Amino acid sequence: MSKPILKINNFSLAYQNLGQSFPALKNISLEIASGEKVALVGPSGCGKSTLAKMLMGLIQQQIKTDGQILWNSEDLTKFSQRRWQEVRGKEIAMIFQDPLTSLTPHIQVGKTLTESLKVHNLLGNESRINKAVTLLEEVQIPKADQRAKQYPFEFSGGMRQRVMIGSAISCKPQLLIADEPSTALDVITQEHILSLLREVADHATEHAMILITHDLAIVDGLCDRVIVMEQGEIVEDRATKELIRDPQADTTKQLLAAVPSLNTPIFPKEMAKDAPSLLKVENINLIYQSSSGLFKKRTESTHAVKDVSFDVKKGEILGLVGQSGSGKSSLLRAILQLKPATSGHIFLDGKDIMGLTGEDLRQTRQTMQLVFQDPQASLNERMTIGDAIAEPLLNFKVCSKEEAKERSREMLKQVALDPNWYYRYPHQLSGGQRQRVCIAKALILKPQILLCDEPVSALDVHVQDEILKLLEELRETYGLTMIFITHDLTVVRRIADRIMIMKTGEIVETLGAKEFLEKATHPYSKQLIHAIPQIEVEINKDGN
Amino acid sequence: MLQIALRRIALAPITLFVLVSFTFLMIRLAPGGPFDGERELPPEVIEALNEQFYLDKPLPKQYLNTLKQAITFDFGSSMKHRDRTVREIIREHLPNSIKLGALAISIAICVGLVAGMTAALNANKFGDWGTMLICVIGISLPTFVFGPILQLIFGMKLKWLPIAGFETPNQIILPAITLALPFSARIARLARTGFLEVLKEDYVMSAKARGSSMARILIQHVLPAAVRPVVSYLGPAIAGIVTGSLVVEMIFLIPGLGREFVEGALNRDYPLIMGTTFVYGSFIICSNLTADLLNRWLDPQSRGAEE
Amino acid sequence: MIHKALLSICYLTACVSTALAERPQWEQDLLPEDDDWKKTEQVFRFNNGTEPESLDIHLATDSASIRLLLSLYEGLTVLDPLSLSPQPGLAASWEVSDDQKTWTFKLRAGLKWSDGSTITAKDFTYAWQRALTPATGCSYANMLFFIENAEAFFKGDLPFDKVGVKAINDQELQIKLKGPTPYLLDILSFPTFFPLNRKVDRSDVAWSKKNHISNGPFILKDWKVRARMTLIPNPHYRDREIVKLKEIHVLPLDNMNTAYQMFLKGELDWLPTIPQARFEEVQRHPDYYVAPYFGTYFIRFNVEQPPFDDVKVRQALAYGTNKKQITGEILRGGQFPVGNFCPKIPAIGYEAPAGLPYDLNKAKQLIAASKYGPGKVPMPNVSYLYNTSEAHKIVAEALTQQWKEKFGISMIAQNMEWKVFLKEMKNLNFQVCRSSWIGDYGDPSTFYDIFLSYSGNNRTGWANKEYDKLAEKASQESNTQKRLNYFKRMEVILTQEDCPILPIYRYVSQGMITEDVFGLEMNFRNLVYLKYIWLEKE
Repeated sequence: MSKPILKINNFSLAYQNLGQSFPALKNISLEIASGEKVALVGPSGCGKSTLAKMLMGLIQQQIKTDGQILWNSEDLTKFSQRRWQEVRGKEIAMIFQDPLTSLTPHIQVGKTLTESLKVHNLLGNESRINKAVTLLEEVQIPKADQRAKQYPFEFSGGMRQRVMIGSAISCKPQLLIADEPSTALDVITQEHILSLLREVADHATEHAMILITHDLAIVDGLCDRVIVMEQGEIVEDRATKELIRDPQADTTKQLLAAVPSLNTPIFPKEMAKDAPSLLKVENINLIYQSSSGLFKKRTESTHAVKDVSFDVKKGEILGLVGQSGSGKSSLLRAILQLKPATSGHIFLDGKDIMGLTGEDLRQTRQTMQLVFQDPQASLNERMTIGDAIAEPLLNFKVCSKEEAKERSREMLKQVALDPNWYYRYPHQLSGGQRQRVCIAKALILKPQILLCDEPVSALDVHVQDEILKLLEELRETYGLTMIFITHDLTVVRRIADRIMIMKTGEIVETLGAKEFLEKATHPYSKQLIHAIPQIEVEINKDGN
Repeated sequence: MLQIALRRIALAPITLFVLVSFTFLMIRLAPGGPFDGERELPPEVIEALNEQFYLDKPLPKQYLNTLKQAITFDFGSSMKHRDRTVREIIREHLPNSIKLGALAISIAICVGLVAGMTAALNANKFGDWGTMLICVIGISLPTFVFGPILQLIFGMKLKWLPIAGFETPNQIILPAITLALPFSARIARLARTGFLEVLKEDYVMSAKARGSSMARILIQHVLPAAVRPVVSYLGPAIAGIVTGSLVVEMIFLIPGLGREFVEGALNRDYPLIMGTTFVYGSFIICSNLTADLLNRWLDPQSRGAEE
Repeated sequence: MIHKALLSICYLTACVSTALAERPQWEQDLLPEDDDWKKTEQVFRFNNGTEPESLDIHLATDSASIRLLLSLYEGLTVLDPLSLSPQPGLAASWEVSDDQKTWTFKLRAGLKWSDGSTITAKDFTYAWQRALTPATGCSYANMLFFIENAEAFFKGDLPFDKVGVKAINDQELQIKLKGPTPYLLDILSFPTFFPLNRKVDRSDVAWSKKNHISNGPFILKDWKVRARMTLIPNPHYRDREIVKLKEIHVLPLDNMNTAYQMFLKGELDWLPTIPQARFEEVQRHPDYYVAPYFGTYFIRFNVEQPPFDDVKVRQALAYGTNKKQITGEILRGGQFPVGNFCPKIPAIGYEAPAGLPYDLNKAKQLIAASKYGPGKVPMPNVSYLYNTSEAHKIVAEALTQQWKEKFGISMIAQNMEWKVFLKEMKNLNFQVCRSSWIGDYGDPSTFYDIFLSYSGNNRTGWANKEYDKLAEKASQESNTQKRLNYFKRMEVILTQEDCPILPIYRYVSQGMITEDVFGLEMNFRNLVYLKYIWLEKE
């Protein structure tokens, strides 16, 4: 092994706020040699991102540090602004988690891509645009010469992450830090990004890489070594294969257990063939018309939902899987009559609800409730959670204020929250707790059917697990019927009784959850199954 | 974007038509007439004046006449200053208002942006509090107090600048600053919020991670996004600066249109009210349109839209 | 060249000799004693307070316009700025018939307009006909009604050749009057009676700005609206040599504070008005002056509305209002409390009876005796109307407080925008309101005429036959003393017996003038002839 480029000695860090000290890293010691690919793994809040930011000098808050971080035998805790500017991008580069927000929206992609080169005067004689095209080709973006002049909004999430990678490797940095580079992307895109990273890593044998993730499944095949962190401390630091085969620390074991697996046994409900359908959708089409032009009207139409038919039996959970843009959200809107379908029929409990208006529509909506992806955005920050849950009761004038309060408390208990939290505000809750509040709010009207739009995608693995468990329990208690929309096959496989795959507005395959893995025939379904990262080593699942 | 612009421009005459009609109605509903005075005019004179100014005709006819005047931009002579036509008043005074307003808005933008940026970069530190304190004072300090203070300091004590008038170039400085003050304070606050918000964005961090200097980050990555609330405010601000210059005009003896606008209303000088309202209306439509288009242009996504 | 120089020397000596020999004593008093003034740059700058409404002599009604017109034009007579007695202006002399109804004015020889053309008697008839034509829109048209048949022509009943004004020849103008008009010579100095050059095309509304041909000591050189007006001497003026100023700059600043600062900085020589807000400070300045003014601040009662329908209530308030408190403690601007309506007019020896004194006991007795006294009709609530202004507001508050304390009248002061206020006042849609009046010419009728029962300016609902009859008698009376006695009786009816109005205080004119300015004589009519002014630095 060559000499270490990064050497951390007994490094501790604490955030300082209003005279209080919040330790984030404790006595970290590690070494990374050039060419080494290391994964930094741990649950959220373990300090892995803090460490990464520290290595880039990007921590904005007040901090107090102790110990050394030697970057090529220079202590980077003592770097000046000027020195940091030299290091960032050129010696150490970073890929951020969220490609959607990490590109400056008003700057052409080509310019962002070559900014590092520009500020470090590494462009040479080559024009910026040519260099950008080369880099885009390097990260496998087609039509690179056109793409370079476009703005980020014209790029999909995956392509933006490619741009970020291209930018990070543009100066050939000695150390590349990738902070959860694929977490925000859907399965297939994630797979593509990871393989790109793998290529980059293979290509630059001289350069070290730190991959930060909470998902041990993606580490395998990308990193030689895994460092596991928990509460600011390193709990395990071993070669990847060894660690997966024989995890020592509890944290490692938990992380391994949380890896979504297609091997987990599941127990879906088999619905009787003649069981009554609660919701029946027949030949739904949804076409968006957008018109432009001042004098001559040009109309562009997007066929978002194409001739979709399916039914949901009473008490069934139907999983609807598809990538973003596949039309699953449009379908949901059509069912809720938020965006009425262009043609087709929707029967709820045998009654055609297409074209309902006014009070009828209102009453119908009362029986169909929605849970959104982003629990942050769907709660009013200025309303206590208790009031938020009680709100639908008052809106639909179901009962008195007093009773609504009582029912709201009861509902809090149902979603496993303390009823005494009635007067708390959303910002006092964690993401998972907020999603519980959203679920409670959706259930308070005792709907016949619950429509869940990616309800767990924004949550981390542990919390995801808890929410899924809650939904399963509630289903038992209330006999809920559900449509569960997600892009994550492992999630849907776990909760749904039947799985329906949607692509570009069409239903391509519908199968029972149990038989899905084996019987899926459509190439797209197969692609989805294949894209799920799997830990290939046989693991010892005895531990907890 | 071109189409949006064209569509908005096509709407402008309709807006103006509504404005003229509404103004016509309002000034005739307002109690008191143009020829009421402390000294009662002889009835024969009032009759003659009514005839001269078309006021003896039935209202629908007066209205049509007003519309004709608006289309031809010939509002006839002022009722108060009967030897001056409205067109002449506008021609003489509008350029002064524009000159003063343009300088004031430039000052307001420069000072406001710099102050807002300084405050945002020193968020919750002394520099921030200091700047924002000055802003609150700037917003709440009335023009009729601030103007005389400037006159006293720069005109009387230091003798650097003239106290009032609008004949030499250095006479425009004090009124422009006075007029700019509340607007620069408001812009500073908007800019501060804008900068704070954008500085929190991930792409700022990623630009920093690429090794960009603070100056480069501020100018290229932050500014275009951070100024958008400021740009949205520019439409109303320009309108406010041009129409709200009355007090400044009075304090600094500036022959601007703001004076004529307000006095026209106070004197029930129907043609003058019509003329000035028409000009201001057009002005506000233009400035709003410009601000709106500028804002769209700053956002590449809506810049590309509908093209 | 030599020829020209010689000529001007001759001209100068000629002038000097006329000045010494022929100039009347009153005018000689206004001249500098020596030639030291010539060492000073003769540029005079003053603030005119606002943009003049118009420089058309028939359209101007505001003091800013009139102040300028008095120096741009000259009428048949001029007023001696010190005594305000009428003196020959364009007229060299005049004759009057025994019944005092026919006057013949003889113009001075060689009078010229500023374009060099000759001034003739026809320029007067032309101008007066224009003033009397309703389409001109002359607000002061009725001022000419003392001329025979002028009113009939104005109403369209008679042609102009029946009107009692005639150019006998180029030099002689004959005026026939309805009745003896003792103030004729005074009123002829007023702008409405000035001549106009007949060559100017007045169909173009902008003539007074673009093509201003005048006949006074100064001409309009430049007029930048709302910025500055520049006057320079008129080379064709009959008395060019008395004009010592080379240039006059007239600023239309209505922000008195700015004007004050400019004055302090030396950018202005004369401020005819001061910033009231800084009165205390201004008053201590050595350049401050205060002079009585020909105007009265008073309140109008609506005699048709309770409780002012009872004369006893009106009288009681006249007795019981402490005006001294208002002027001395609240306004503190040099105004003095008055009980009468018409100011003193020394030029004709008129002094109105003093009006009712402050007597609270008397006032209370009167209230008690009125129909709103104790045990009778309850005193209704009153609303006091004034137009929005700080000065009016504090007077309104003082009155409200005084009447509440002394008589238990609960009054609400209500302010309104000027035009709305005027409309309400005109329609008698008020109970009591603030008012003021400023005289136009040096005769009591300029004040008393507004309360004639048929006057459009009455605005009180009050009518008194005796009062109307006295006015009629006064207009036909040629004996000055008798005439003034009629006016005194009118004053008594107005402010002591019927009391439709309650005078509060007499206006004063306050201003600032640098010690370098000479020949600017303050008089109570606030009439300033700029031609007498010169500057002289020590």
